[in-house]
Amino acid sequence: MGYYLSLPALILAAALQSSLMGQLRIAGGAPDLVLILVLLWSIHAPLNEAIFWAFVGGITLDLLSVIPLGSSVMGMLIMIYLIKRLSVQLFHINIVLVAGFLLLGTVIQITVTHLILAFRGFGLSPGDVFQYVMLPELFYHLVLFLPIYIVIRGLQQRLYPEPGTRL
Amino acid sequence: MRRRWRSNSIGILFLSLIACAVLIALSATGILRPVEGIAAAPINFITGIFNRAQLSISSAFGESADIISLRNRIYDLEEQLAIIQAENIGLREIASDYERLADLLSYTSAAQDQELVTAEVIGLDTQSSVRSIIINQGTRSGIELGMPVVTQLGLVGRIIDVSANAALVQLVTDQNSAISGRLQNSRAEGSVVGRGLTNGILEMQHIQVDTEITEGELVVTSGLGGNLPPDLVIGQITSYRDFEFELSQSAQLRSLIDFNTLEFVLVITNFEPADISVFDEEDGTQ
Repeated sequence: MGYYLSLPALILAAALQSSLMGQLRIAGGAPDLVLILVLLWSIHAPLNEAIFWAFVGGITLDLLSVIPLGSSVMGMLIMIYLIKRLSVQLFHINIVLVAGFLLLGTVIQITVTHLILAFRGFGLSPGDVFQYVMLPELFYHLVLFLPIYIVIRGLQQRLYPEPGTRL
Repeated sequence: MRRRWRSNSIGILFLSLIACAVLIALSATGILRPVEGIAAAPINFITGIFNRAQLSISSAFGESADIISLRNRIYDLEEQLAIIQAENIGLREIASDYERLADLLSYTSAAQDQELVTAEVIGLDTQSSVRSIIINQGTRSGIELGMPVVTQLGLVGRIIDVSANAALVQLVTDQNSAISGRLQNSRAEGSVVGRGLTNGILEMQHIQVDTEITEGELVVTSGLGGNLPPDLVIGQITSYRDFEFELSQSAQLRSLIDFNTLEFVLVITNFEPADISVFDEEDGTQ
């Protein structure tokens, strides 16, 4: 079911990010709704489903960007791997850890995409990326993650009635 | 179990990363451009909807800002409008005065044998029992007692008091006003007296019994008595009374002048009322 849900949810998120989120820029940065959805969904979703979400979300984002197709997927995949590795070793995933995952995932995503952009000739200086992209995005993700996580968790508990994470 | 998951997950991730790298490479070369175009179409469509919604919201916020500035503009314009309206009222007054004066001028052109002084009505008599007006011309303008005051519509009255720069005009409607009049058609004489205290109309008395009076007939000054020049319009017959037992007839007249809205008048200055009192004295001496 999570596979089917990914398409409308991520397309809508990408569309929102391409339109309304542009109005919420602070110091040049805006929230990455697709990244938030993919990472938060991936925490409790099966690996294959998380990878699928990463592909759908990343490609959708890249279709609305100058960045080459798949660039956004790369960072998400790396983060999903890290999340899954940590989730297996941890007995319980609390909200702080979720926030940590998201912030780390944001840093990785921005780093990877800007590296690819730099290869493509659209690079910014690391200082500018940190100040004008990373810091505002981290702030937004910290603000937005909790309500989104609650919604996602509620949906996943309906989709996967068994307690714990399906791996 | 955990080791198997780890190997599986690493394998899946590795395959995914390879797929992703291939995708990036293909996309960077531009091979996937047609596919990207097709895939982007529905997303662009949805994005367009959101964008229009966002623009509507932004423009709504922008419009609210515009409304505030427009409201301020309206206040400014209303203020200017009030000033212009006041000016407009003044100009209308001037235009109205101009029309009235033009009418008087045309009258003066017609009455070339008369010397006229134009005067503005500046007040009404404070006594409610007296029907008279105050004009802003006096002896300095050559105005004297007894001079007739007219408009293009007819007789207004006579000067009954005069100062250097003002004069009091007794209206024909005043209770004490008595003017020798003549019916325009029958040429019958009579005395026109004012009925200002009752209904403001005039009454022509002492008309000969056999005189045929018609409603709407004009009554003009006869010139008898020497107090007023002849042929000044006094008013129009509205009704008449003819009783067999009376020795004369009487008729009611309505002046063509609206005395309540009178603003400008003409004083005929080259008319000198005849002083017939000497004849009375002579009669008395005889």
